[in-house]
Amino acid sequence: MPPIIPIIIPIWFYGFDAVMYMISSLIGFLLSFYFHKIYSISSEKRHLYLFWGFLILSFGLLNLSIIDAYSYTTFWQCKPLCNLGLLDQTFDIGSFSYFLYFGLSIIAYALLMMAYIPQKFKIPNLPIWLLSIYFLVILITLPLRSGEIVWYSYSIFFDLIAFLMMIFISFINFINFNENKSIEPLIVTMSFFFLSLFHLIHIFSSISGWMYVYAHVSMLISFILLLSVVIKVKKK
Amino acid sequence: MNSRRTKMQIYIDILKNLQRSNGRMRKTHIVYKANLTHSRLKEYLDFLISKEFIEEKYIEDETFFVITEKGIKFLSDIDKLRKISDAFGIPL
Repeated sequence: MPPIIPIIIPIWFYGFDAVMYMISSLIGFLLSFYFHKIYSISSEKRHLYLFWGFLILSFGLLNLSIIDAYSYTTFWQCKPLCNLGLLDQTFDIGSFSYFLYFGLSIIAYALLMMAYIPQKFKIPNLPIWLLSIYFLVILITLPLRSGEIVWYSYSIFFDLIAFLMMIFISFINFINFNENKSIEPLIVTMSFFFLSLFHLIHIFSSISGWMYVYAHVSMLISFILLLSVVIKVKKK
Repeated sequence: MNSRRTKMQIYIDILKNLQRSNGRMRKTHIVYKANLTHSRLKEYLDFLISKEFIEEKYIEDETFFVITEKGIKFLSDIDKLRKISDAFGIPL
């Protein structure tokens, strides 16, 4: 029997995270739609990176939303016979879905980073490099993790990498806000900061179920802030 | 940032210049403002007419190009996209 999943999710929160992922992915799709429009005007690569970044991130979140909804539905159907803490067939699919989300998010965040890295520091094929490093870490540490479910037990690696990438993007956006002193760049900075907070808090989900809740609330706040930028601009 | 203007940027420049000049301009004036040759300008004007962003009008024996409501709305949409792009620190 593999060990219990090292992430605690409060029972009352089942399903809420799926809804939060869905809302976030829809907002992400909306942003990618706008950045596609912007790219068609500017033909600038940095806009293209933002388009692909938000699009890939949204697909990752949509995938999580669907698989979480499916998993929880299955769980409520078989309750009280099954136990969410134990890995059954449903949660094998869920673990794979999380792993897919990890990979897609790393590519997406790398693309967002590429939009912000100055030209002279730009690393060619950054998303591919980061993804390769990510898989390499998994391969190297695989023998140490025998007996654990491979996909799910790597969430700490992912969250740590994602946190560092998001902090970098937040910092660059903060510089932009500092130069412009207008409200929209501040909201974008806060949004990326909340996304980095999501990954940071998620690392501690094994300590308490509340950490999982706080992390997901941070993620939702992040995407709602991004939506508020679009609404604010459209209303003007 | 690209030093060369894209086609879209040239369309926007033409429309903005028309809007600034009370919505209408002569062809020679557009050539001067948009920094294009006569032959290249014709191509851009034909496109904008086909999209109904501008129309050709004859006023007192002179030909003017006039920005339409659709053209003004297009410029407003572009302005909103610019603001979104600016918010992310990557100007359009």
